[in-house]
Amino acid sequence: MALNPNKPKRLPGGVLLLVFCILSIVLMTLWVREGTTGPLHTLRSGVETVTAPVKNVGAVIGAPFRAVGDLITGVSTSTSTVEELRIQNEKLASELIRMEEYRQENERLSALLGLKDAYGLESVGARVIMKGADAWNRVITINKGTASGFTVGMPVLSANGGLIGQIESVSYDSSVVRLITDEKSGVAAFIQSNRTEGIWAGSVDGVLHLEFIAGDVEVKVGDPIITSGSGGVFPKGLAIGEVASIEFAPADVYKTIVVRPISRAGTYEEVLVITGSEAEIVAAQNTGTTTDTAGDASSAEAQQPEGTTGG
Amino acid sequence: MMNNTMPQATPVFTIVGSLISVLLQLMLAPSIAVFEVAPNFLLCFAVVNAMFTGVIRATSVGFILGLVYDLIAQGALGAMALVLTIVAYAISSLNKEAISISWTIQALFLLLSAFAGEILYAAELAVIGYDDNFWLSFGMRVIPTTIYCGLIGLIIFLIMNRLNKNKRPEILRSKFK
Repeated sequence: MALNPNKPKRLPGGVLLLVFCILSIVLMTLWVREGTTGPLHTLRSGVETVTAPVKNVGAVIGAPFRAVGDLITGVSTSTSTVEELRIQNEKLASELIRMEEYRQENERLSALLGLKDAYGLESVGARVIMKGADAWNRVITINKGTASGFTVGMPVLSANGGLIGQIESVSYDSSVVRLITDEKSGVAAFIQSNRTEGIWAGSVDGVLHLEFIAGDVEVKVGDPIITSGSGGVFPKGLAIGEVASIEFAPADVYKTIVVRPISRAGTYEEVLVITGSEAEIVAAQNTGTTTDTAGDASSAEAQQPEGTTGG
Repeated sequence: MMNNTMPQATPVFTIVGSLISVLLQLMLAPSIAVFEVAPNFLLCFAVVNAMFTGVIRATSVGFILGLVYDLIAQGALGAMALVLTIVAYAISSLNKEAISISWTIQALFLLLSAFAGEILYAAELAVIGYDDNFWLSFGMRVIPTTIYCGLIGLIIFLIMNRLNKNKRPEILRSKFK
């Protein structure tokens, strides 16, 4: 196309650039400032609902590609035998930590009568339909949402009982779970053997760290790490992983502890979402029975969705 | 600035290509992630599209695809829209005669464009507090995604170049056979 010096060719493009840039910055500012129930977050939730069927189809179509990706990612664990043993090992490690937690709690508190069982958790199974649509967030999408009673903040476990994340956003029939290995994840946890509390945090490279453990605290490689229940984000006693390495320089105040997660990211296809404790659900059902004389069955169904399994 | 060397993609081609990119991002990208790095099909298409179209269409497509990416992914809404708007505008404003000299230049240009997009996105996330370790992100995400996007961008480029070869001025067709 010949250049015409009388016609300002670059002006429309430049104006458009300016308009789109301002619009993007305004959207970004609103997004950061508004709460999780704001209109932009609601819009994304709507998009998740609309795209959920597409993601479901993608999960089926992408299975062969995923197998190739897994092969490249884990060349050393390519045989089915090794994979089976690894899954079995993860399951046993998780069970061992849970059993140890029960044993220690029983030892300390057996004298107290009427102790409420903190581990009677209700959970609902869900299928993973997408694992991270982008490289910047360690998230998975599962195929159940508000229709199954899910809400933002519910903890998510792998099938072997290890904590893998927390629901970040939820739509009618799908939910996005941010994994514990993501750098935006982090909550109170303690070392099971000595009950020292710290903060576990994910990182960009997917490595879990237990932070703020003082230098004089005795920690051993292999010590189980579990949620402490502080802050009420996660129930107490959920297995996160075990200590993989410890670094401590004399000048440091805190130890640098790397945690090996029980549930390795990307290996699970089904997950369990903790919807509440058994005691809470029974109480809610009882309240519903006494207050709702009409006996609305739908409220009871909402408290105990289809596919509910004991935790 | 329009040029006389690169073929011009039709609006229909841009629309169809954009839709396919969105579908690929939703359906295929998570499945072909390597070391937890999923490709960004929308960035790839926005870059290649900008090489084949004028400023207005390239910038508009960049903004829309960026917005779609922000809605699909879990980052801040508007972040990728801003990146793709700037990148698409910059590419479409360049003198494309220089880009079309050889395949090596084109491949290098795609790689650089993908890198520019990813590094801008990383910087944005760091500024708004979504990413607290920029340099670790640079090594773990920007570089792998750039390589991945560069490769996919090259494939998209070859397809677009092939499908739009009749839109190229006659005098230059022999160069691309």
